[in-house]
Amino acid sequence: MSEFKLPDLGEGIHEAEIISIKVKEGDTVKEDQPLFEVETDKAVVEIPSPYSGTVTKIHVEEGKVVTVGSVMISFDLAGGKVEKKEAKEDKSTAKAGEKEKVAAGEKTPVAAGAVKTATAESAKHTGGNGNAGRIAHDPNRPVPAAPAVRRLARELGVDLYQVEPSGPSGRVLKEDVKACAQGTISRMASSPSDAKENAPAAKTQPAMSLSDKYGGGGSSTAYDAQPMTAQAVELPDFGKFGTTERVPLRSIRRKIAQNMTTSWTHIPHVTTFDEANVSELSRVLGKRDSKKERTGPRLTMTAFAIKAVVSALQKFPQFNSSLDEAKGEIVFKHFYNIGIAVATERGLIVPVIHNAETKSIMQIAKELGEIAEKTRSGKVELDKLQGGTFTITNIGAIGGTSMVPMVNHPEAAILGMARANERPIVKNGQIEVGTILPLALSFDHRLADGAEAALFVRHIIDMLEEPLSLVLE
Amino acid sequence: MAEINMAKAINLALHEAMDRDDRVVVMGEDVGQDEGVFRITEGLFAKFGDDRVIDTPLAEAAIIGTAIGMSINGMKPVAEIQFTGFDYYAFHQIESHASRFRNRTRGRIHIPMVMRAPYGGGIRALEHHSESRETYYVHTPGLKVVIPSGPRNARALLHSSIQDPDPVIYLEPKACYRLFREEVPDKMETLPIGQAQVVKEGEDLTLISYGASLRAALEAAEDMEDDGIQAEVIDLLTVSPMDHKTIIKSVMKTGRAVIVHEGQRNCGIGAEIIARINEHAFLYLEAPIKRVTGLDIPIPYFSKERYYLPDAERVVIACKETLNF
Amino acid sequence: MPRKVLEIEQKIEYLSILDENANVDKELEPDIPAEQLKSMYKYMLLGRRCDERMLKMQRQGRLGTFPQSAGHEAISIGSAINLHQDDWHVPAYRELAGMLYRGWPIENIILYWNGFEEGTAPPEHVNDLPICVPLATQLPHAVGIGMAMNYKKEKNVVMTYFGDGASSEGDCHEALNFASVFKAPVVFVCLNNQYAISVPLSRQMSCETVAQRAIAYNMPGIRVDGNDVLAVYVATKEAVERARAGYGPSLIEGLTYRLTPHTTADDPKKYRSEAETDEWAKKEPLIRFAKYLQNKGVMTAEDLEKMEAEVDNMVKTAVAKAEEMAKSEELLNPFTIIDHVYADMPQFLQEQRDELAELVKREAARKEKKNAKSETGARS
Repeated sequence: MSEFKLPDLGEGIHEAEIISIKVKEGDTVKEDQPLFEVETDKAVVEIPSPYSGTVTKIHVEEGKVVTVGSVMISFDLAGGKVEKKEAKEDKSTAKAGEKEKVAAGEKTPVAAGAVKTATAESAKHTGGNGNAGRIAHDPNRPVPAAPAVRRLARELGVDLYQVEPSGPSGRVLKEDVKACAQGTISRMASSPSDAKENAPAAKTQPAMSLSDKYGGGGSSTAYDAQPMTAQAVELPDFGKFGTTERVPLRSIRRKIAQNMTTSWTHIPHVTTFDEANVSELSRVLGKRDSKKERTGPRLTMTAFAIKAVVSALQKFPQFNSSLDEAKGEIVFKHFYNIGIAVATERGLIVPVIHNAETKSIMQIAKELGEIAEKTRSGKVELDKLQGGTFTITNIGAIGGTSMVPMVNHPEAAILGMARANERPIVKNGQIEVGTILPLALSFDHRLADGAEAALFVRHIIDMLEEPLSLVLE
Repeated sequence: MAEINMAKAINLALHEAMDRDDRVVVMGEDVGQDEGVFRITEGLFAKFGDDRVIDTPLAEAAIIGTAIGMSINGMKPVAEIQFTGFDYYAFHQIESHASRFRNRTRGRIHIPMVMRAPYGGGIRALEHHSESRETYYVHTPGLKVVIPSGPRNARALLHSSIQDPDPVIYLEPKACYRLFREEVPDKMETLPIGQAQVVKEGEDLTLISYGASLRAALEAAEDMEDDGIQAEVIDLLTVSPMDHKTIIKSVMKTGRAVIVHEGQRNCGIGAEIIARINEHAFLYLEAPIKRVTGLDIPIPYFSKERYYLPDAERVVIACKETLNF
Repeated sequence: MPRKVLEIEQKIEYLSILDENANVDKELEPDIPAEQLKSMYKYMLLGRRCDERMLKMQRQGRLGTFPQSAGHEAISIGSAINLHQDDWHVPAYRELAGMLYRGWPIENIILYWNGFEEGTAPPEHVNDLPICVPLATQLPHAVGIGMAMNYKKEKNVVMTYFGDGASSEGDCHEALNFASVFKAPVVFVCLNNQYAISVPLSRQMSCETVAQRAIAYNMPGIRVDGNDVLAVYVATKEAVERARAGYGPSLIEGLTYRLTPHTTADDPKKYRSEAETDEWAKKEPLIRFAKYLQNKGVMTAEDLEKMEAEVDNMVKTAVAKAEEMAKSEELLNPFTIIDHVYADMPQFLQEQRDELAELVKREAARKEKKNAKSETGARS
């Protein structure tokens, strides 16, 4: 049996109002799973569970004010592991509290990853990476980490304050950052409630709060209310017109927002549309799917598209390049890493099929299935999220006749696939029924021109219309 | 051509330079009849006479000062200061004039002279004969400071120094004068001033050194190979203007660096290297950069010189600390 | 606005009392007590024997590079003998005889050239500066010491030395000018051995003497036979008396010859003929002074032999002592290289001292391992 008492969530916080209780008695909870959302006079913070175990009693009620030190919840600890991880002094939240000033009196929800703070001694004894939840960084000082570790953290969007250190003297190592990022991906992509693993994520809309969806949810990173850009556009006071809710832009959503801003502001986009008659491919795929004892992975239109794109990229290398603005050079990549946009509960993640040029359709199809599933369930490895040279986004599963995709900076182009539908087509003066796949290629006009883009798409279409050629590639 | 040592290589360069350009003159104490106290000017007096190989009175300020004057009037003097321990006498000429003429005359007058001087410890010399104070010159805008490390680069760099339109301080690691021989090509060659060389490639950390200390760095790199550690070794060759691009490129690859030089640590070359890495490759660092240098004391007389001079062991220890950070 | 002649006195004396054949100019011969004469000879001899011994040691690898003094004993002793104990002796580096006379232990000199800073520390009882390697840089110090004497109203003098090569350095001229302007009680003694390493006097200066530079600086100047200890004695005695009486500096040039290479690393055959060296060797200062002492009846041949033995013994003892000291814990203490740089150790240097401690520890461990190994090796 273990109790959790309300810690001092800020510098000299004495009490907190319980905003919401996220578990009920009898629930089995995992370490770091959110327990409460509480509001102090400094901030609203989420309190994640310090233990894994069963909730035996909840001592507080929503809407009530509790004082620091009051027992909030009791657990029956799983596996008899009685380890007290009560945060005695939580300076991390103080940091969040300070930052809150930026939000100027807004009612600011603050994720409470930092509540996991433990004393320095316990951090010393951890030594491992998988044991997230005992972070000992003094929020008033920089986190001890070598510059290269900081770079990695920056690249992966990891807040060093949230990383459990395993190095000497509480130093964060590269492995710690990776472990933390991996953990974040897991939490980000999977729905905290009941994600249906195979269903396209966008279709399921469980009762996620706005904060969950856009704020990173879960036991995610501490909120820092930084403006998105240097010259942020000021908003009118929407409150005059009705009730509003403010949610911090965090983690994946924030990253997407940043990437899209970079893409939109740096890349002069042009989009070219075309259609592929994939009747034959569609027939083959349908036939294969309907077989009862299918061997091998599920073949999809996307797998073929990847193969076709690689072929096109090899022919038109400018679409596999990047523009180095600083140096005024074009970087041509002699490898073909194709990113596939995967919709998850909290936003788009783009896992990458590395060196697609060396892989057969079957291999690609297999990898595609695995990687998409892993991405949705938050288990995708970090290195699978890096190194893309071209991206394919397929909204076909959801619908839509066309779209204008945005280039995934710093790549040169992105191919959008809409739903392949049966449509009447005119062939030699006759109307036939065919399966038409609408395609849209957005590209960086600095690196390529419209004619090239049209030819590039044409090449893809040719390949898709002759599926045999793809198998033979 | 046969293998020759560094003393001979520098001598060869002087012969070649005087042969091809009659504006080149050699001047200094004992450079004529005596052929230099380290015999660097061997054969020059006999071949070119006292017009072009000038034994001067014993006065460093005047040697450098007159070399400046000769430069102004169209000559290319190569002035020898017998030991860097005595170049302080001429420092005001170097600092106040050699380094500044181009700038203060907005390019109308420039000083294409070379000051050659043996520097550094390791030869059991007497007091004031073992210093490494290259920092003084590096800290002086308008000067170039070249420090070769072996016969071939010594010859090539001396040619580049003589051909350079600006004053070059060419410091010769006297511990290397006769330390080893190296094949030098028959044909005269130059090496660009301001360009470092990667003398050994490696992935694990970057060792940066120059002059006599390069030996310690190379020896350490070799020792560490037994432990499976591949150090990349960079020979600066020119300490000013410093080629930080080569350093940065290497550090971006290895993430770790150890700097080795026998000059004092306080505001030494290592400090500048660290600053440049900090400016250009900060986020690539896996560990703090270490310096294996002379201590911040006057270089001890030779009975205790070994406590001051960097050696392979000190370098290996620093490297391992860096790698295990 | 006429063009006229300025009456500037331009006369330089030359003084020789005892010639190379030990003939004495009775008129000029100074009246030096017998004991002092013996003492002068003893220290000239000690300087010489010491120098010879150290050269051998250097060749045996028992000593580092050093500049020899042989041939300079008359100038060194003939001048230093005129100093009081509390007067100042500011040498360059060929005044070995004078330093020994002033009280520097021989072993200190040996230790200095053997790479131990401890050898540079002047003995407690003397007002001496140590050997000064960078040429002419000691001369302004000598003048400064003299200026302080004037300020403190001390009745002392400073004797300082430099070579013909050093006379070309700016520091030399600046020191002479300062001494003259400030009437500093300084006696400048130039050991003109006619070569700055390889560069002969004719290339060092186009005037005939170093002494005549005194004219430009408005002080008495004299050239003496630098191998004639009596001439040196007389000239410096006058200069010391003038200085002590408040009349300011003098410049004495002793013309001599370096009987040896410049240093143990030099080869004089490259720039001097053997004939020339042989010629000057005949004029060296000790032989004629020994003859003079015998002729004068101050010392017998037997006395001279005895003194030889005594001096040899002094040198031998000192060498043994120096080599013993070089092995002592005190002199081997590596931390002495750091501990004397500042009065108070700055933090950054303390940290380097700690680094050094690590290095020393490793060295000790290695030694121990080696010893243990050789022991087992010996046993098996």
